[in-house]
Amino acid sequence: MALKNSFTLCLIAAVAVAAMLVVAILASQLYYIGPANPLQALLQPDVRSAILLSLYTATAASGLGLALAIPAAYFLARANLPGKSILDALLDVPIIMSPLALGTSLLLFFRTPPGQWIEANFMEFVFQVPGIILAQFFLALALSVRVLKASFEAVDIRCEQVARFLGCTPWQTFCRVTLPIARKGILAAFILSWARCLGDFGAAVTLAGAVKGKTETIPVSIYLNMASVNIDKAVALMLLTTLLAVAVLLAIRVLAAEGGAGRA
Amino acid sequence: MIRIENMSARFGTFWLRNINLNIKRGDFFLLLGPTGAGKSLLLETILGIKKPDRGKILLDGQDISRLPPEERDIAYVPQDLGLFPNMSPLDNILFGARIRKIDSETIRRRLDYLIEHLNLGPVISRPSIFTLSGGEKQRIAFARAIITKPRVLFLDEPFSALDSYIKREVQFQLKRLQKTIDLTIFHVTHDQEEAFLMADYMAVMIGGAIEQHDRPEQCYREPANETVASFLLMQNIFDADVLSVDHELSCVTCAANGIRFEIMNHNQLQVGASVKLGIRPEEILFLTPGKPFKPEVRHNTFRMRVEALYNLGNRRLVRLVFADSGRTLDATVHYRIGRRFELAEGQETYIHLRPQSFCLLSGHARGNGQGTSSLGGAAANEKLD
Repeated sequence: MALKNSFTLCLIAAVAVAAMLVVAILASQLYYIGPANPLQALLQPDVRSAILLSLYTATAASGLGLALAIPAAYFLARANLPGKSILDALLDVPIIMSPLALGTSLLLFFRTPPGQWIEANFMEFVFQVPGIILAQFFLALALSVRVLKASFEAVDIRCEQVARFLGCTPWQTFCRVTLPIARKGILAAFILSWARCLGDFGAAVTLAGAVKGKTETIPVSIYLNMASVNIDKAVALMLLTTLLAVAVLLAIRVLAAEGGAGRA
Repeated sequence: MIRIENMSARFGTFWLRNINLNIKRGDFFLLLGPTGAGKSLLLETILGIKKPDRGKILLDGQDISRLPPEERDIAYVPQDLGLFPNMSPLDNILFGARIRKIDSETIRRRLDYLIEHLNLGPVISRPSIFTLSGGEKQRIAFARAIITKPRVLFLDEPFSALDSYIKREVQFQLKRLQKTIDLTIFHVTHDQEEAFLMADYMAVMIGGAIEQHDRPEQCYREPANETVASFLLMQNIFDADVLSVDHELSCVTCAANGIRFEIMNHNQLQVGASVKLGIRPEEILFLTPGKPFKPEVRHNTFRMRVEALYNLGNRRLVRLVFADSGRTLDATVHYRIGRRFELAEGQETYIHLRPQSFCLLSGHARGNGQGTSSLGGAAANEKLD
């Protein structure tokens, strides 16, 4: 009994230390702000514009990433092709790659003839807001494919087969059976990639730069305010991103508890 | 109705070999075989989930091999049922009918019919399928498949996850419904009791080939070969030689391991021929000890020793040894008979083997998968309109 108690105590102590480390970091933000209202800093026009730009780019990048990730992940989950694992690994590269390297790679792409043609005839990305969306899109796509592939694999293939015999075309089966069953996984993929885009600094700043008032997202704003020793604003933004992170992680856990995709 | 012609398919190292089947409209056809025989592969190949290497699948004369599933007008209930977890029981049932745009009046009429015949009343209004028992899920899956009025319903071991009592109830309901609405069913199972209970016609599949295609009673009485006989639990198989033939009495005397049997001469056997004899464990008759034998049991009566006794619930499996030759023989008796004869290990007893209880087993598959199922045009009483 004594051994069992000591084992449980060790586990509890480890969890307590790990939790305290995180709490200490969060508490330090509150301690710095002190009694001042952090919302006051958030109401200033430059901070507000950074928040709005971040919300816009993260939502656009996650939405576009999801639109491409859904069919790609479904293909990876269902297709049985030689070389599938190579394709699978290739789509994971943006997750593993350093954000700085990803941003630099994109920057180099726009120095190539195809990249220059796109900038000249289609849309400008370098040091522009679309550049932020593009950099975040790569991150969102890779993360969404990873989450969605697991969700689609959890959808019982028999449900899809039965649906076909009940009269569904492949499109109807996908839209009426597969997507609704995997809907929680899709939502989880969107939330996770949205949060990842919101917190991205390295990839976006390398491609779109840190131009105050133009390509200034929340992480860029934190960086610029820290650089100009405007700690109040930086910490207020850090607090905001922390709260968003907590909300996202809780939402993911609620979705996971309800079951991403069930079997009958 | 369904005709499978010379179908072969290879899956890794496993082959489905030259499958020929012909199933008539309104039949409850059952594909029976041990685990790993290739039953589900054959079913999935017929359904189009897997591709055959050669052969044709004809449905009402039309080759459906290349048709997409939604254009085949058939329904499929897999082993795990494939119920849609995000839908209520009612939405599950109506899914196919809505996809096929069946008019609401017809849907309502069919739904009422299925609710009544599959006893779905208590479950139809449940909000989720996760609150249903195994038997209830089963009936929902059947209703979902049948409401579209398919030409054939394919079932892949649908009862395997149910406990015995629920299984029997659902089997009765499905069998009644199938007869009532004249539904053609292609059912796959490894469960022999289920096969004999449900089938109008059955095929025994072993090692990727159809070994026998016949009526259930025929498969039971006269297995096509030793492989089928062993699978259908005809444990007592003897290699014997024909010693004499009495054409007048249609009687043949055979010898196996020094044991002489008299059997009915159904196959015009000749003296000197080598034969395989089979006798089912339940065909072995125990003779009352201490009483003189009646004239009709003067042949094929043997003194045996009880080697082992196994409890099968309502029956006892008795492993007997021929006192003279040491050859074993398995018999099953009702537990009351076992009690009456006070069977115990080591005890001696007398048995009688009726000449007509023996069957001759061929070394080749009967019909080689060429069989045809037919109920002789069984008339349906009701229709699912």
